[in-house]
Amino acid sequence: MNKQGSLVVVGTGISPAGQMTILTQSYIKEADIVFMGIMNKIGENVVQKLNSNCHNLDDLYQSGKSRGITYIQMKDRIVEAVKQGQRVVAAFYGHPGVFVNPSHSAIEEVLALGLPARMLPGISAEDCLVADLGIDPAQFGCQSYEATQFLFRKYRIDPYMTQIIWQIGLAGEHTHTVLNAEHCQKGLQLLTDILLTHYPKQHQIILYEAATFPVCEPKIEKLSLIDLPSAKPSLISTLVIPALGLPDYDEDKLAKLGLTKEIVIKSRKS
Amino acid sequence: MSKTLVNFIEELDTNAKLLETYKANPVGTAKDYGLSEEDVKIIEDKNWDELSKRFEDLGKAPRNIRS
Ligand SMILES: C[S@@+](CC[C@H](N)C(=O)[O-])C[C@H]1O[C@@H](n2cnc3c(N)ncnc32)[C@H](O)[C@@H]1O
Repeated sequence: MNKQGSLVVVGTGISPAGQMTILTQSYIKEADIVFMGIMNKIGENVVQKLNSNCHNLDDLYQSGKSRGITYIQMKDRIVEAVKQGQRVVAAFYGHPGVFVNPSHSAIEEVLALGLPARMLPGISAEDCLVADLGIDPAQFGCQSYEATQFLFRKYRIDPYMTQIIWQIGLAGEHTHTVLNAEHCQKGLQLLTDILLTHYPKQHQIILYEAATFPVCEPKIEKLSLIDLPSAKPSLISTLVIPALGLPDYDEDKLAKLGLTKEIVIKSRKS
Repeated sequence: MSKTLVNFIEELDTNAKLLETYKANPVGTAKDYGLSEEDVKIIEDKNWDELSKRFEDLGKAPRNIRS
């Protein structure tokens, strides 16, 4: 009988070696074949030491080629190996399910074939951000989204929540073909205009890059909102707009729960 | 045999004791580890762009395209 193929999608974390879970390492070791979308050569080296049959997905990126096509090809490579009866691991940097397309689509397709597929969580840029900036997403609540999608569609901001804006270096970029962060100026300007309807000009915002090597510190650039259009984010920058604070109590909603503001405040203190 | 920057970075990222020693004394720790003069210089100059050039290809970072 042919061996049954399977897929496990794993994350290698933001730093090259230390943020990989023990279970992730074990699946990499046990795999028949490992595909890597890691973009950090030291991280790749770590994975290659665990399994000698590693294949890079990076060759599929080409300047001028749409990411949409690249990701379908990545997914196809991964799924093809599963169809051949191999125990496949696909390793992506960070958390493999956070802002990554081919990881989710490969799992969907393998499951549709009636074969086993699952994802293991990894440490994402947002996890590093919480640790490095000391922001607890629960303190004010949090809206976390992709810059371009936000600009293109009718979303609403709640300025009383922390805003975590991903792929800021590609804000407004619609072609999916560029491989650098030099096309975001118009997008940053529009985003600033929108944010200025909610926050004061001098509201302190943060351009953040988690350290991708343990030798360096994270990049934490604080600037006033008004200066955002002249900021120079990289392809791994994430923008953080701290919350304005807590909003007022909603007395109508409280009344529907049989409560008042005073009762809530009193019970919080006792 | 001298140890490479790749060895150093990988070990720093998995060894709390070495990492703490490095944080207290980056250049001394890099030298003691056995890095070449050229690589120690990268640490000394905090030349992280050079590290990125050598080891990263940010253009190939997977990216979300559901806009
Ligand atoms: C396609 S997403 C991939 C995210 C990744 N899967 C994760 O789990 O963090 C790329 C975006 O993640 C964020 N990102 C990636 N690396 C980062 C880093 N070192 N520091 C801060 N944000 C980062 C940036 O917003 C970047 O544009």
